[in-house]
Amino acid sequence: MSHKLNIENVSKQYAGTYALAPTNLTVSDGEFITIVGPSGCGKSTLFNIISGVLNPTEGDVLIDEKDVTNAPGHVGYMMQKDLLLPWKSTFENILLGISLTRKASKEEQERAATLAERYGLGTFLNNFPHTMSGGMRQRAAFLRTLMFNKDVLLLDEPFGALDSQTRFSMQQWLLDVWSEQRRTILFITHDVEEAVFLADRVVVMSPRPGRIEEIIPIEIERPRERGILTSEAFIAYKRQILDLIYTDPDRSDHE
Amino acid sequence: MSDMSQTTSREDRPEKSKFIYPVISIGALFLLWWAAIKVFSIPAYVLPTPEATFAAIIEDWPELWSGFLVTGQVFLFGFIIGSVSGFLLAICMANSKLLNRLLYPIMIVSQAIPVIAIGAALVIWLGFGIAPKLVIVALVVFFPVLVNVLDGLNTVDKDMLDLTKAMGASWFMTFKQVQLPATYVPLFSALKMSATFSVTGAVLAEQTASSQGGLGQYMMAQASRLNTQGTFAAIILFAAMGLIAFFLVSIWEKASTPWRRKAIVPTRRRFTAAHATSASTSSAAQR
Repeated sequence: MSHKLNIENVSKQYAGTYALAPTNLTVSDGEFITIVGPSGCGKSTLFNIISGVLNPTEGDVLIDEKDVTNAPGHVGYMMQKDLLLPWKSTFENILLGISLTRKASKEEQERAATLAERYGLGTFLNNFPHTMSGGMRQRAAFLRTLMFNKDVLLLDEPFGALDSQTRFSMQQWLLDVWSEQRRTILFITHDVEEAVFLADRVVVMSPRPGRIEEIIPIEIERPRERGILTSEAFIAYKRQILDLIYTDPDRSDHE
Repeated sequence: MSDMSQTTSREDRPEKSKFIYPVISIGALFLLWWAAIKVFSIPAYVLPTPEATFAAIIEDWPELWSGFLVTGQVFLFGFIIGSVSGFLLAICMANSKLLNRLLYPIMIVSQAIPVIAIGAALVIWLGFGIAPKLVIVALVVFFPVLVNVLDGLNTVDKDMLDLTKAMGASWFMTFKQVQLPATYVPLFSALKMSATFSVTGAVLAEQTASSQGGLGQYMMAQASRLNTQGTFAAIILFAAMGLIAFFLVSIWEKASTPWRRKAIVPTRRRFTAAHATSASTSSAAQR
């Protein structure tokens, strides 16, 4: 597979200390990467740099071999908060990425409606967001990210605020959408189970300074069902990652 | 549109039934007024009866109406000048921290000075024409609009601004679609308050910078003659002016902020089902 995203020696310093130590990561086209790590490990800094919102102190971000360092508008970005605009309908919110730069064409409008119908928001198309449940709102936020129509999607704890049942159904939903829409996804989460369940590779990050500790390929076949959560391989991955996160040389107070 | 009925809520009921409550309560107020006069035998030169007041309105209608128009003009233009300038300044202050820090103290000091006191100075500067009166009304409206709009702009989530930036949006598009609508709710709260305050402003203006023909002047003339009925006739018209303004602002507010009361966007903004079904059958799985 070809390289979709190259993060080359990217770092960020604030007042001389590293928020993110020089970091390298190469992501293949259509790959699903999850990123786990305690707070302060530089996950969000990394996302802000990739999305072009934040300028790195050093290093380059390349998408399709093209330098997009500090240039916004090249990736889709979604956060834990759905950030749906309360005065826009679901349909208008899904089209936000387009309507912020120009008027959406008829084809784009129809594609947005098609996506919404296909992925369970058809009946909410003209609803204001306040009428929708948390899960539905996150779906709308994700479809907004899809409609922005970039190959690389950055999802920053998108399901973090959902209850665990909704979260699980959203994970399956996301895998369905991803397998049909073939995008490259980088997904931050606090939930190790979620990280393993979704990923082709799990990136484990550590704090002080924020850096990539290890990258673990998850060799569990897709499509993945709920059953794999209790499989031996799955639990082994989970343990390996938990050990990496909680074996912190600075602290020995954990049991 | 039959599928839309699913979310019809309590708020979507016809507006007609809502009008009955203000009619009842204002009617009750007049009844109370009338009853108080009868029960306590209040003489007419202290407090005229409602019917005497309305008789005075009808009797002096041409003069009252022309006064209403003169004062209404001061009220309307002062209201517009005050709210537009408050709104524009709020946008400038929200976009410049320096401007915000420099101007905020001045704004507060300006509010601490009584409008009447400024009014006296304004007459010296601007004479007895309409100008000083407009400034007084505008000053009354200006501050609540400024503070509320600033609040509204500050409620916009910083992450939302990062998102629009990541989507490559220009400052103007972000402002138009994200920040501006966020000011509507607080803006209309301020405008509703101001709608009634500005009547007070208009009366004050006419008392300070009185010239010819306003309702405030009419009222003062009647009061100086101890014509209580005439005074109350003017008071009723002031109340009517405030009510009309409040009512118009409320209608405007409802039209501008449908998401606060409705489940579904207004018809003209709806994506129609005809498009969606024809599209979903064909190109669903393709991207």
